[in-house]
Amino acid sequence: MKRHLTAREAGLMSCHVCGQLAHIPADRAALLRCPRCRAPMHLRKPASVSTTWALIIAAAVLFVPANLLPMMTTSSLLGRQQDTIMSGVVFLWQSGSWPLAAVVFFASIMVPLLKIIALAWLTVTVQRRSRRSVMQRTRLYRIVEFVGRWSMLDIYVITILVALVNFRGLATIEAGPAAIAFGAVVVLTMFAAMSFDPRLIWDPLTESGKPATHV
Amino acid sequence: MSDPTPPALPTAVVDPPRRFRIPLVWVIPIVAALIGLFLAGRTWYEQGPVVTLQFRTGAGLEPGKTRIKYKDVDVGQISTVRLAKDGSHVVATAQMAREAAPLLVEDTRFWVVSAKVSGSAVSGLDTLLSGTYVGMDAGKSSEARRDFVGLEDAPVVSLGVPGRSFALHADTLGSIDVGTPVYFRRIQAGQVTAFKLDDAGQHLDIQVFIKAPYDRFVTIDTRFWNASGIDLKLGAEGLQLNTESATAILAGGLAFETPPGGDTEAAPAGQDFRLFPTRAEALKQPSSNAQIWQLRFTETLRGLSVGAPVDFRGIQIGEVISISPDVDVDAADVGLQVDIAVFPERMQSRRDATQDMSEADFRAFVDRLIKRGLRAQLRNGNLVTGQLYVAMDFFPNAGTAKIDWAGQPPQLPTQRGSLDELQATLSRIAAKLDRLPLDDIAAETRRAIAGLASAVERTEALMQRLDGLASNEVRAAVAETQQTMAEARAAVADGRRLLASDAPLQQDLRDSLQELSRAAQSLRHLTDMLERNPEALLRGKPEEKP
Ligand SMILES: [Zn+2]
Repeated sequence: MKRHLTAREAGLMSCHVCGQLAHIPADRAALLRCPRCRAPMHLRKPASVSTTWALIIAAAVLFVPANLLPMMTTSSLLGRQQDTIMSGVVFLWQSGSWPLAAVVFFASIMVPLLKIIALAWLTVTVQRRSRRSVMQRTRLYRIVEFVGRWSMLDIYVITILVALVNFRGLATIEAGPAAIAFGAVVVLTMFAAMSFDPRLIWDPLTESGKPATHV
Repeated sequence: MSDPTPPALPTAVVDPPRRFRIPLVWVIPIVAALIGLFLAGRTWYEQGPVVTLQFRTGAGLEPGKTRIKYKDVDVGQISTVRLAKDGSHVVATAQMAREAAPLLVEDTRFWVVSAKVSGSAVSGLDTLLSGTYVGMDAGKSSEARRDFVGLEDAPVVSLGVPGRSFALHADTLGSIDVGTPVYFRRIQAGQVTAFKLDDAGQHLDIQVFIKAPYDRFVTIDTRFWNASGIDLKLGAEGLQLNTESATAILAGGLAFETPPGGDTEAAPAGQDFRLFPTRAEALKQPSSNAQIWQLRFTETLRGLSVGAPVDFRGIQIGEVISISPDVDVDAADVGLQVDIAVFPERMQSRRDATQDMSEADFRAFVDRLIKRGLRAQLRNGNLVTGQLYVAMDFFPNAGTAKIDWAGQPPQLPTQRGSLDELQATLSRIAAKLDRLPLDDIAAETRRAIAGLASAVERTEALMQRLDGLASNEVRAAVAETQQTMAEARAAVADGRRLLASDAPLQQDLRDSLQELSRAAQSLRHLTDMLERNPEALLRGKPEEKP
């Protein structure tokens, strides 16, 4: 692959807030600030790997109750029913709504799961300074970031249902504890994707043999 | 634009290095783990015990759907339904709520609730919408239990309801069913909870549950009776109609009442009672106080039934308790034996004379009554239906009779029934009339008159011959004699006319006698037929069967 000059190799860095370019000072341990807007300046997102790890682990932990606990409680004349995400998918599948079942399954179970796995893999490879399939990993990161906002689908559906279906005595829908966990998973993975610095994927190519960039 | 040459790139501003920062970001997974632990812990805490329920069929049981309800509150959910290993029943496992755990004890009951329509009630209609659910009734035992055998039917009374159960014994079930109401003064006071045939198959054991405020009215002396439907009784007393309530008419019911003067202390739970078929029977005096007498009748007992009243000049003093043929092998005779129970309380005089009488005094008293002509007699209580009753009355003309006090029970003398008596008298008259030799008398008279007539004729001829010979005096005498003869002949002719077989008088007499005889015969036929077919008075003579 053709190598290009990076800003760091050129001795430059940019402000994350206002985008101002500046020369990297010689004192590397110092805390840098933007010469224009005084925002803290970093060569890479600070503590990107550890932050991403923390958020991924948190998301993975919450992914368990999100899938095991009831997502919503439907009370109606026909009785009270608690549904987990999976039982909802099973119900949709059994009642013949296969496309809908597939959508819910992918949006609510597969996407968060794959996001967690993808981010974990990206972080691991970055930590191991892998130089392989850099391009693919970058694309994966783009997909993960793009998909993030759509995995709130379930939460949106429940929010709308809870607001709409509230005929006192006839039928009410309440969000279950899994909804909170699920929302947390989605938010945490979004933050994890944000805290991950994709430039770290490319770094091993530029500084072969050099110690990892920090701060 | 104003400055065509761009300024040089600035250098990042250097701040003094900061102290070591705690990586706050790790708080997030810790919090997440805490939340996860909390949720898991709460779920685990809220999760109650798992119980297994055995049911005969799995009808309506849906894993993950079917709820378990106690007092109409969800306390659990069926999680799996599978066939037992030997295939004889269905085993369902249920995840119970935590708060239901203390309720799962030895005598806790489970049953499947589905919509049920029976004669008296429609139940479980809510299950039409919500689907079948499993009902639960918490037991009172303190011993925990996790595997239960489901009931076939919902228990009528849940364990928590205050009240007491009693056992009733009946000959037939009638229209009683589980859930049949039990009334006390026409208030629904309880329900039939179960019934079963006893081991011998002779009686039915019926369990009733009387709710709390009413159960204290059930005493040792309380009588229960079947208040099902309409109690329409046609007896010697006439037509009687009793009913407890409109529901009881449709769906049957039981009722109870304590006769006045009965024990007022509440009966213990589980007390046995007899279930009487009617209220009247239930409230009769207990037969232990009754005196049993035996009656022997030679006439037909058609129309007399067990329970028929024993009456003394209009007051019911007892009832017929059994009717049976009494075969006397030695005398080659079959009599009919009627046992009656007489309740002495109903004959108590104002002075309570019979109350504290000794056995010997009482016997002497009854003997005196018999001497005065006290007899038992069958009487027709209802001409329309031909129901008979036993009347006790004085018959001063009755022959002498004595009570055999050695008999068990003692036998009271009887008098032929009134209708029977009339019939016998008419038969006797008819027989006597039959025996009158009317034809012989008529023939004798006719012969006598004929002889008289020939004598008259002979005398006349003699007179005529004498007429020619005799003197005037003699002629005068003969003339006179001739006139007498003419008169005599006229008399004879009159007599002959009178005695001719078609003479009006004789005809009238014979007709009358024949009528009388026929009337007697008809009356006999009528009484016979009425005895055989009392209903003929209502419906007419029955068709002769070939
Ligand atoms: Zn800036």
